[in-house]
Amino acid sequence: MLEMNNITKKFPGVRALDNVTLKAEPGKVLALIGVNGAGKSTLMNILGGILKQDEGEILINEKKVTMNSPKDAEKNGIAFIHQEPLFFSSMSVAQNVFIGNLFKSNFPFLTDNKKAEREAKKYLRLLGADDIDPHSAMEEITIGARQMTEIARSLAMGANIIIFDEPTSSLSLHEKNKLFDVIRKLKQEGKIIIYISHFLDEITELCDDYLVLRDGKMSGAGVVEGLHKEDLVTMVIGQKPSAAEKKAAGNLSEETILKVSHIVSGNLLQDVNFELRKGEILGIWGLMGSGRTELVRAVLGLDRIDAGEVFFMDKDKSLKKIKKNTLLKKVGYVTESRHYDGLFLNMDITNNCTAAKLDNYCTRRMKFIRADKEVQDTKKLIQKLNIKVPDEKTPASLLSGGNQQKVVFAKWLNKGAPVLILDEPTRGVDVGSKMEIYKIIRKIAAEGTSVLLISSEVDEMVDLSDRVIILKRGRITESVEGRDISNSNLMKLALSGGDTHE
Amino acid sequence: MNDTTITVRRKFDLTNFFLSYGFYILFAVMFVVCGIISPFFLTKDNLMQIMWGATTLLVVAAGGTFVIITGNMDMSVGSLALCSSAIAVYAMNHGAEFSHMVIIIFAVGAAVGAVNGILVTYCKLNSMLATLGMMTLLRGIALNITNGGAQTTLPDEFRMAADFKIGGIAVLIIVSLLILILFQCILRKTRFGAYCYAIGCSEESAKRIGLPIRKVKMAVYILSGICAAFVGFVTCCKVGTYSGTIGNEMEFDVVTVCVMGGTSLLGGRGNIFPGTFIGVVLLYLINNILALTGASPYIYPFAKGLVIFAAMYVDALKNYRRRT
Ligand SMILES: Nc1ncnc2c1ncn2[C@@H]1O[C@H](COP(=O)(O)OP(=O)(O)OP(=O)(O)O)[C@@H](O)[C@H]1O
Ligand SMILES: [Mg+2]
Repeated sequence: MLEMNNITKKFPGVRALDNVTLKAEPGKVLALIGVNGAGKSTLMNILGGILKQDEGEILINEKKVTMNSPKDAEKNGIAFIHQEPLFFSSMSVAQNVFIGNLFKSNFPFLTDNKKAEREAKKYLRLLGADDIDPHSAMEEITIGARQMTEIARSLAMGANIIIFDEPTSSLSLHEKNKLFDVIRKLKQEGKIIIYISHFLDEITELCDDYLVLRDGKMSGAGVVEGLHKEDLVTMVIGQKPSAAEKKAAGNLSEETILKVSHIVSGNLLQDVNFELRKGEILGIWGLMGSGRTELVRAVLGLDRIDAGEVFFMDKDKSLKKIKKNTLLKKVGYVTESRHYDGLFLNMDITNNCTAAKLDNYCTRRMKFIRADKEVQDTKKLIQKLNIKVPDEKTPASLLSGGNQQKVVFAKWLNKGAPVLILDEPTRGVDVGSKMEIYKIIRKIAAEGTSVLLISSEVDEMVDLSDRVIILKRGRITESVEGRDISNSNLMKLALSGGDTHE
Repeated sequence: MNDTTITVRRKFDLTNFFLSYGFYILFAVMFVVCGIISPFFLTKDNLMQIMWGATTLLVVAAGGTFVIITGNMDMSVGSLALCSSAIAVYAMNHGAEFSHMVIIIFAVGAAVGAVNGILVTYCKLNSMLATLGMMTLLRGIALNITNGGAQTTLPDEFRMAADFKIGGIAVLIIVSLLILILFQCILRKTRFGAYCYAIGCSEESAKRIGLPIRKVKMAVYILSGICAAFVGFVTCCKVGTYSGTIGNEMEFDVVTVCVMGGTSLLGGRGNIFPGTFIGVVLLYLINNILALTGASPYIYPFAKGLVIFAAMYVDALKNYRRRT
């Protein structure tokens, strides 16, 4: 039994947690939900010994525990699977599993790597992940396999309380199902599991109890069973969700703004052709590893291509062939990984929001930056996208995960480019804000901006796209429009075709 | 590349192969070519000569490999070699004997290493800049206490240590090779070594998992300091006198040879044996063949400069390819 009683945590300018009480029982999965910046990660960081609470106490099996470091948390049997995965890329899976407590060999001072590999195999088998070779380097395995390794690490250190912070946001469907099986297994073994997610389907599917945070305060708790997804949404965003808007159909222009022809890149992309029309939202749908991200990178000239051409509509409305690399100047590109190439983490929100269109904020001749105008526009964006921050001068690194993602989106929105490329634009964003972002995307599309959308979420694809092209193993196999863009149809198209296996 | 594969990127890639083993290949090629160019090259005397020259760099680069693997830099090693022997000379002028001098040299090495460690871990200074500052500071101390680095004759025991041989091989060579193997063992087989790699791969992850980051970094800097002191000691032995040129430019050599041996400047990967070892010997091979073929001695820094650029470029390419 885990209890966190009356926890309060203040950061400069924000009260991230205010008198929060959490109770979790063995053999149950507790869902921790709430909008971006509600304080979920902060609460778990306190439990994981990464942050220290200002007030409140933590009890495990009715015994009071204090945690000053992750090591203390480990001693108390708490493991934390983070929002951004923790791993050591050049080291082996086995070493990653046992890094916290390596085996001693019979020889003094030395460690026993063979034993580590044997034991790692054992834990991986327990998780049903036999296919991971304990000897392979971490950088050589998929994100899902890395996560399994992290779970194996928590089991190896004897954790009884396992925290998952948005674990599915970069997993493929197959990996996600595997993860759920593992969590159910852990639950049966009587572990306490805390599960953070913005996907309410996952909550109803997996969790037993729930705790909702809003603005650092508790706003609801109870049993998941019998609860509808709509109720959950209402609890999370604090109001009834507005009915999903239908997209306005049929007023697409015939002009093509971007044309991609015969792109070949190694064996990642094989003869890809498509056209993007003005004001169109074109979805690229496929499984992870089908080459979605690689395709946009190739189109933009970020990766080298072996053959193919890209055309872009010029000022005089004719398609012109694009020279290497110059397309990036004309489009907005929300990248898939915000920490790696999406944000200037150390810069404040204002500088992040204006970075893509700095020319707009300069004096005409001398190119001095006009800070007042920057702040003005940033304030507007913060409001528009519902970004939760103390003020517009906060460094991006201090924002919660979902709010960081919103800043990435704000930056490119602010550029106002005629083409916007979105690679997983709402990863980690809460349900309410997601709807807001969808609204904005639809609005700019209606105003003539063309959007190229990549997403692993079927609902996002279905809600937004005017047309969807299906990518499979580096080839476009199909293109669907209008009513054919449905949940079931997209899933079927991605999986079928027979060539999903080597 | 489908949904169920666990491993990504395992294909054999010629470019990657050359980037990883390019300097090893260069080493082998150099060896053969040198043997053909100069009949004297493959004689035992000449090979011993190369190893004799390499003893100092071997040890300090082995220590440096630890530092670089944890994702840090130690630019103070050259000056530390100089300063530790300068302090020993200062003590000698005030009546210290050989044994005291040896203790002083190594104690200074360890102490300065500890200070570097404190600056980097507890004061959170950038390791490159902190140790560059230390480099200048130590040189200043050395110049001050030895009258601007004047030559000083040392006790005879120093020369005797250099002349000491077992089975016809100088004991200093044997010791430095043993140190190298020991260090490689520590790196690959002990918990400390694993922590070094882990911290270099991702300090943030190491912190969250609760690894003793500060202790490991302190230890690494102290180790590097002691290795630098070893350079001071051995140079004194070889020459028999103290002079202001001890450890000159050594810090850049250390970085170069580590990178040539495949250690990444971003941290987290690399090894001492064969990596750093090959790097060191390759650098001395270049020196040796230039000398044997009677090239102008002024060519040497030029050739070394080219090698440094090549090594850094290869490292940059490898890092780039890893990320994309
Ligand atoms: N180190 C910090 N310094 C200052 N403020 C912080 C810090 N860490 C978090 N915050 C603030 O605390 C609040 C709660 O953040 P937290 O990361 O817990 O949110 P979250 O519920 O996990 O959101 P998300 O769903 O977006 O991940 C946010 O407003 C965030 O800006
Ligand atoms: Mg979070």
